[in-house]
Amino acid sequence: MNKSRRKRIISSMALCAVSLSTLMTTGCGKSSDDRYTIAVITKQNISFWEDVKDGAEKAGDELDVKILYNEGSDKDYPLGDNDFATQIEYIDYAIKEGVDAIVLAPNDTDKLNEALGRAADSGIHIININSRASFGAVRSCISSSDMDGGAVAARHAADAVLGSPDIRNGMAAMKSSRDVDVNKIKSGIKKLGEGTVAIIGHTAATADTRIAGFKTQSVTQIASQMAADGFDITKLGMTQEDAAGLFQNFFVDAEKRCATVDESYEEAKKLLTAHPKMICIFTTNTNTTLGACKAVEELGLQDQVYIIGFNADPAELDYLKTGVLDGTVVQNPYNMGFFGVSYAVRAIEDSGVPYALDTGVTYVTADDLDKDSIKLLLDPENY
Amino acid sequence: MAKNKAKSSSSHGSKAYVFAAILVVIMYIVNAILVDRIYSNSQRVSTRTQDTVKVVNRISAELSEINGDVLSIIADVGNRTGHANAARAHFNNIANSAEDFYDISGTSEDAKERFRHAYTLIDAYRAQLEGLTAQWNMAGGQQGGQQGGQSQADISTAAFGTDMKSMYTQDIYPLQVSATEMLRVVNDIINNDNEEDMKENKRNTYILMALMLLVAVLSEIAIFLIAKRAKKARLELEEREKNLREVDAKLKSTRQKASDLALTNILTNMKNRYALDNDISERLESDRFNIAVFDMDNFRSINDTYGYDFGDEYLIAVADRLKNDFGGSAEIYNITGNEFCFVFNKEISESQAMGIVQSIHAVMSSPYEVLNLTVQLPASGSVYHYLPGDCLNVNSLLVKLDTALRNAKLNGGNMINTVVDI
Repeated sequence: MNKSRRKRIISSMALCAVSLSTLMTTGCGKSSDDRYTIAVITKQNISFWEDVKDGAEKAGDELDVKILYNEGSDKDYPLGDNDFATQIEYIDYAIKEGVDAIVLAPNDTDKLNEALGRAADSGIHIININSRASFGAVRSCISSSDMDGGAVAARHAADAVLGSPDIRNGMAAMKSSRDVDVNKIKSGIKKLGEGTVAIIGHTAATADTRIAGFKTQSVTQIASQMAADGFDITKLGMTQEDAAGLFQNFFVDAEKRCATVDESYEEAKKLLTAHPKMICIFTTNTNTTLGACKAVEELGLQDQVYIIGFNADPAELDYLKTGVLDGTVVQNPYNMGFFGVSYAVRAIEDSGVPYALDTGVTYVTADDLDKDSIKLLLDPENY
Repeated sequence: MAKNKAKSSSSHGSKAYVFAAILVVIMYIVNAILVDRIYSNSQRVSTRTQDTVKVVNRISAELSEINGDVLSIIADVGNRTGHANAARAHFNNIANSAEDFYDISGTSEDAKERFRHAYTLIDAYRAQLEGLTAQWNMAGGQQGGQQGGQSQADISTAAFGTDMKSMYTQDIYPLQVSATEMLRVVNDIINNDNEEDMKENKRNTYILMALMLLVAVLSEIAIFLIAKRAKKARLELEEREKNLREVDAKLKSTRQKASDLALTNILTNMKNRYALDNDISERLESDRFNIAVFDMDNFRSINDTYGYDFGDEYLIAVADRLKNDFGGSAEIYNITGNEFCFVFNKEISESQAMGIVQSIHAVMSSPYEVLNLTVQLPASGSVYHYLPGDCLNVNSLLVKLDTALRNAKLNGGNMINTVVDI
């Protein structure tokens, strides 16, 4: 009887030890409990927002945050970049789930405010990405300016235009003629530059902003560089407006906005045929870039025509490598998602969030592809 | 055997105590080691966190300095070349700090990766700035030249300024601010790691405390159980000892009885020859006393005529009379069949003894009623006034008495002979 009792005691002690040791080992294992839940709500289903998603999830991973990406509707993505109704479904779902913060790329400046108000009332912090909603409680907006995107393209377009042999020779001729008749110079410049820069825009609202940024900056840039070359137009008695008007003649817009590669291709072909002096084409998104490249390649004009595109789709990178595409403006959707989530965490922890963050645009040429920063930009997951 | 068992049980008990003591010591050592580990771990974590955050903040500060230099260059405050050189120095500081960052061990992979990304942005920022300062220097040089010359200096300056500003906002500022913000995320990750490590330490501490509490409770229970068992063992032992004492007492009385039997004649219930030996051998050396031996003459004829049973009854009757009549003045021994020995008390004098001897002779040779028959036999005796040192042992004393008795019988019996010492 004594023996059996001792056995019982020993076995119960052993049991305690085993259970404790399991407790210890589970305690020692690095647990990655999610500290917060953050809803990330984006726009329509294009690769840009996939990159945003990747960045957001990366931040979630690093900061131990659970990400709900476009959850709460039977639609995986809003149907377009004006489908705010689906975004409201996502927001209401996030409220129901009791998330700590919402990172939202608003599909409308005003129409989401009511839903955002409900979220704010539930104590949810709101961060915007891409553009800012008019809702007052938005803590921060992480975006990349489309205006700047156009402007960066413009600076390189100006270089291309003013650096092309025809223009350079024409300018030199005008300069050496020492003509001081403003009108003559104006018509000379107009004749020289007319139809040298084509613009093919896509169908979304961002295209307008990018084109506006492109045109404004191009004018400034051309003026500035011509002045540096000894052709200060304002000194010839022209106002800034006159000069702007004069340089506007350089641009030719495509007849219509293009949604697909084929449409862009057709438009690009039309423009190239109608304007043989064409030096540069600016396209505002992936599809228009691919269409323009296809046309230029088909017509064998890659050495004459300088294409400045937008975004960095694998097909675009191929054109970049073969030299058809000369440069492309790349935004940083991955960082947008990444900073969106990390700012949301800071908002939750009340540790200071900047009012806005510009993730910037980068002009990428074929020579840049080997640079670390460009590798990081184009493929952050594998850098 | 019972004793053995008790001993082994008590040794079990002490073994248990030793075992418990060793276990407690081990538990305390383990506890001390674990506590130390938890403490040094938390120490390490907080040092590491402080170090990394310090390095990251230093880099952020350098970036901010660089931004100041860049803004000064754009706004044309002070010496542009000087600012550009200052920026370069800051970049070198950053490179050193980055090495410091990688030298700190134990930083999580996430933090390292994020830092690497941030540093790539800083590198791009540096490259971008280098490229642009080269351009600006060129433009600035031209501008300077033109200022010296006749042409349109002011508009050029304006154009240069616009150009620089757009380059700053479009090419430089986003890189600088992204790098800075990413460094803040590095800090966020490090702080989060720190919090998690601290939480883990806290949890481990609680587990350890619970463990020690459990050990304490278990050892209390063990001590209680062992004590209970020891008490039970002691009670069992006492019970066994009590039983043993009882058995011992029984054994003693049995032995007493057996030894009594050895010194007593069963038939007459008188002391026997061994008893005589016991009683007087000590006295032979030092005492003087009177001793007499009697037996009935020709007792054998009774046995032969009436049978042994009758003879026994006869002897019993004689012995009872002797005990009754002379038990007060002498110790009486029934040393063989019908032979009785009388050792007179010390106070009986020689003459008194001679008188008593006469009475004994008379009593023994008087008629007895045995089994409804009256029998009478003459008796003979011998008496010895013993003086100290006469005999070496009881045996030789008896030989002297018996010789005197035999002489009496040879002379016709029914008489008393006195032992004469030669």
